[in-house]
Amino acid sequence: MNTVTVELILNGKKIGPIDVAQGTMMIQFLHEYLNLTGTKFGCGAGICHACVILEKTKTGHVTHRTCIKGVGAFNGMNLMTIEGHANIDVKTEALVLHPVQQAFIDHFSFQCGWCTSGFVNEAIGYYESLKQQPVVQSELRAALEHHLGTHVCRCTGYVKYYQAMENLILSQPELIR
Amino acid sequence: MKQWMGIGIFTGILAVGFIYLGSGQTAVINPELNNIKVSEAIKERGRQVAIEGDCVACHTGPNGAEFAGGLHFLSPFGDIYSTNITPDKTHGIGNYSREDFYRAVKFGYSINSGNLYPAMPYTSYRKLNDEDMNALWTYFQSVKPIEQANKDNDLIFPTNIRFTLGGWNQLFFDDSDFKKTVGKSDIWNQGKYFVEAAGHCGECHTPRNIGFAMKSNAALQGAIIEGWDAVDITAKQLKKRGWTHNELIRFFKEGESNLGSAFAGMYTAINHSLRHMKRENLSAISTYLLDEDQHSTMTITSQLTTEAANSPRFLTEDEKAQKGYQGYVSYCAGCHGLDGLGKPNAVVAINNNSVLTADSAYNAIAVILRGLPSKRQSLIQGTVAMNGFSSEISDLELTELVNFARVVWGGHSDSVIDVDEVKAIRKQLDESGYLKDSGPDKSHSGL
Repeated sequence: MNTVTVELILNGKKIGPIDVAQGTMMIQFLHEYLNLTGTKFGCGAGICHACVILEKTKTGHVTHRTCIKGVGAFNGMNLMTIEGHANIDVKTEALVLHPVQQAFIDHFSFQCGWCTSGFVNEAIGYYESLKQQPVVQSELRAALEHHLGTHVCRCTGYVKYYQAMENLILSQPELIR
Repeated sequence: MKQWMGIGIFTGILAVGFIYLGSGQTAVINPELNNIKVSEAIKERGRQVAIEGDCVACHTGPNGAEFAGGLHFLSPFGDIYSTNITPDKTHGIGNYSREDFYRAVKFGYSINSGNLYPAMPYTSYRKLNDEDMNALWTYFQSVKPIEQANKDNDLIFPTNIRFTLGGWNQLFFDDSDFKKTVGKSDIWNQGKYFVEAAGHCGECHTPRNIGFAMKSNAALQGAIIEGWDAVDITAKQLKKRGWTHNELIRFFKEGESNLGSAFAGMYTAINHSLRHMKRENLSAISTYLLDEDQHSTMTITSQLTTEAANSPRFLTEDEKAQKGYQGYVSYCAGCHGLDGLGKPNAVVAINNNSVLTADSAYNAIAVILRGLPSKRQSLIQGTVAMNGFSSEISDLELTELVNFARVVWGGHSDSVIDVDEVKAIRKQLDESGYLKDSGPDKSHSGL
């Protein structure tokens, strides 16, 4: 059996080097090898973006679909999945969600939750990018449509996802020009 | 001084006369045509000619009424919108006489707006014979009038001056009737008539000269249009890629074949036009394109290539060890499978796919960067959308991937596409606006 050697950083932890069957898709690797099942398998054809995870690069963030990309494509990357965004408060030991996650909950953005991991990763990538490059307020809606528009949701019709992001960003003046 | 003025005025008059004579508004038709009685048979033939000419594809806007116009075309000179060609008296062709209709379709002159831009392929329709033109005119009289205003074009100076197109016609318009080729069979010439006239295949598949006119000496030799390579469909190249008579007919009828499926403009042409045509007409087209004059419509030829394509071909261990295969697994195998076999009615098979067997690697590179919308040919046939990888795949990865695929699945003994070539195609597509992420597949191409 042909294998590919994979070594990467996932949610801050080093993974590998590990030999994986050559045809393994990244989502299979997350589920079967690492037991990280928060990333959801949707269409399996790279269309719905439910399976998107986040890569931290030197210049910012990039998102990747994991259902149609082999694990070898992720070799050497620094990645974040849905399991890696919340933190434990050292004082209270309570779980603190990322502001984007909290906003989605506050706005009841999702129902069944299948698309949520993809939305969270895409939205966090965009949210973090605003810290370096704030958005012009009048262009915010178009920018959200541009960044989140590839994600398919079949429950809430996108509106509440977009509202959550809009309200979150507008509540932080440093993200707006 | 006066002498120079006189020469200037004289030259100006000559130029205006030259342009006027090329405008098409002086074209006349055989007066006897006006005496033809309308019949259901003629009207039905007209409907067929409209299908063969694919009028509906360009003259129907997004989710709009048939033939009411409004479809946008991005030309090198700006935005062009197709017009309303229903018999509506205010916005359409309701006030046209038969002669006006001929002038518009065959000579590019409209009484509503003046000279038509050659985005309307009158340059090909010029070859339509009187019988078909008469049928087309009869059919369009019976179309439901739609009261929909035309959108104004937005073109740069001086291309926004329609009158100057008379000059373009004088310089570039082949104003000659269709000619049968002596020594060829009737079915071959029938195919030639369709390809050159109603089918207007050359409008996409023939390269254009400096004046954006089709190069008559390079007919059907392929051209880049709307960010795709409308491939070389000369007989030699079609045969080289493995096309046979029956495979071409299946491709025209279903948009699918063992050598790949239709996409982009060709999918539109098949969806609206070719698949609605009679099999014997498709057979004629195939006979002409393949330059094979011995076919009857029922002939089943030996199809070594397509038989080979029919049987699954698994990659060898050696092939899987080649540079480029890892890229294939990383970006493509999730849908197309580890051996490129695809999935029936969902994902196209890669082995022997015309995109890879073509001499040019343009479409192979472009499709990976751009992706494709989903297609549906029938209730049981279709393909899922392919998302583009322009934001994910590097030029080097793409180069290695395309070279690997062209050798392994495209039948090339070697493929030496270099990174600069990929870079140039990416840059061209990006500058033309073809690499914008289109989002979820909201542009479903239904029936």
